[in-house]
Amino acid sequence: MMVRGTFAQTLAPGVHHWFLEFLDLQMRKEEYSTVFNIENSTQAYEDEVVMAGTGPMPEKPEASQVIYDDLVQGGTRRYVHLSYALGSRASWELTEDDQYGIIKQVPKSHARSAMFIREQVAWNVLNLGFSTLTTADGVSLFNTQHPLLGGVQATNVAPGVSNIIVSGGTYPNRPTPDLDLSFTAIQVMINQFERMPDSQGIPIRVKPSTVLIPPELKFTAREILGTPGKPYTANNELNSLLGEDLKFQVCHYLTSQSAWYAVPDKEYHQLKFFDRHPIDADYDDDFDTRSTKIITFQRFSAGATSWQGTWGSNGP
Amino acid sequence: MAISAVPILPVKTISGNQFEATRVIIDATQTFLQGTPVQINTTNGAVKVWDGTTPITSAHLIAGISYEAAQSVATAGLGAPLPYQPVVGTGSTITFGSVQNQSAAVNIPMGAPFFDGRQGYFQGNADTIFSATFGTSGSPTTPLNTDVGLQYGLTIDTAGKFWYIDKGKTGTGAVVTVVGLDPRYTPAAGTNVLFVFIQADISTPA
Repeated sequence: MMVRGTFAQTLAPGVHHWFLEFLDLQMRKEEYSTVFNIENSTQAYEDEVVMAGTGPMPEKPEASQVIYDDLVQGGTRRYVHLSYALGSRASWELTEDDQYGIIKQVPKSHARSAMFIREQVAWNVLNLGFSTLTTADGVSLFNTQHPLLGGVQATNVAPGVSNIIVSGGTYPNRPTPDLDLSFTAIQVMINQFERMPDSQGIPIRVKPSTVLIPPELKFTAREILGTPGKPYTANNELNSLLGEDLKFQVCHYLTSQSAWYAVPDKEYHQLKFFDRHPIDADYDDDFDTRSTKIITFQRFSAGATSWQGTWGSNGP
Repeated sequence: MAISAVPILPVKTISGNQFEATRVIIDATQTFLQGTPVQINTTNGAVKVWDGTTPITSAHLIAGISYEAAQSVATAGLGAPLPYQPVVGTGSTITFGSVQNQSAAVNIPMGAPFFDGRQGYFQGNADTIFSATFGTSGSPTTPLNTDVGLQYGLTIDTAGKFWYIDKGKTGTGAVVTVVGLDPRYTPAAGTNVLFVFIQADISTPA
């Protein structure tokens, strides 16, 4: 409860400038929406189910019968929307006596709080992607051994993956061991993207476009991706990464200082953010005390349906 | 003898405020129903069914009454989000079949109750008045005006697995105080009474 006793400076005119952090310190530009696929929802939760296609088409020897193959239903990923809300309360007297209209700007502070939680929950999909955040295949989003629905046959079929996979029937979207951001680590990442198959081993069209990094890796990323020559060598070799058209994005809500990630354009991955109830503010006066109550509310969920099209390294 | 108890539910508050509800992580392998007395597991902070131990000591304090049925999970709080995190579990404890080559994946039936690793309950504070079936040691009993103001215990019904006010439990076995007859019913064997918890038997809200 905000009352006049704790906000005495608002009661008399004469303050030259109120440095309102929630207005004067600008919040960072929205980041999660540049990576996550934003969708609306009208339900308590959203279920997404993976379905693998048929495997490669075999030869049909003359006069022999055709081979029949089936689609393969994969696991379900459920997005449970959570509610987020914040309230503030100010006495009638404070609201009325506030000479600067500061109390009336509380909703703007709430909006900042609301935007922060959207960012942090969304980016925690990546932060938790090495541990507890799972996809429809039941293992962590970034994993060295994502089990393929097609099993060993899928990796037998997938061209050129034998030197990439850790075990048959699986495919990684994380290096073994984890690698710091470097020229060669990016090459490892690109190679895993280039060879990335679907669940039956058929190569998929996916190309990393953005390296997602914490602020601490900004200078390294700029050196690796921005120099015309191969970085950190005295030789006059071309920086072969330039042709990949990779850009990097500094993400201020990543918690690790060494973990880094890569994603293609949005349509090629399944990182999702469901907006169940957009940010909504309301206020009312309490009848008995006449104090003002301000509430801001929203509901959303975030996660990943499939690992394909994502890649992460937890640093070493 | 079964008593056909109904779920214990809050019906009003003395102050006129809302029922005080709390959601915290659920303990492992819980299968209790809506309207069940619950307690906090002092070792992990998770909600579990009240063990019925009386006289109540610190490890057996009642937290309140569950407002939803438990969904059994293998470990306490499985999938529950920490602050600023999404739900990280499968989102449902009801699954079927298996997924080819993916032992950790699950099929969730459409419409299966969603789950976030937590359990909700109404706090058994002094402000909240609950309504429960009235009985005596397994038999339905007609509540009387003379029961109002007396303190009784809680017992789980063997038939429906809901809990009822047990007139047969008094003294150190008592955990509630009857504060009235439920005005929705004409008093008869097994109709409801209104009660509040004895506050000495209630744990501090989470």
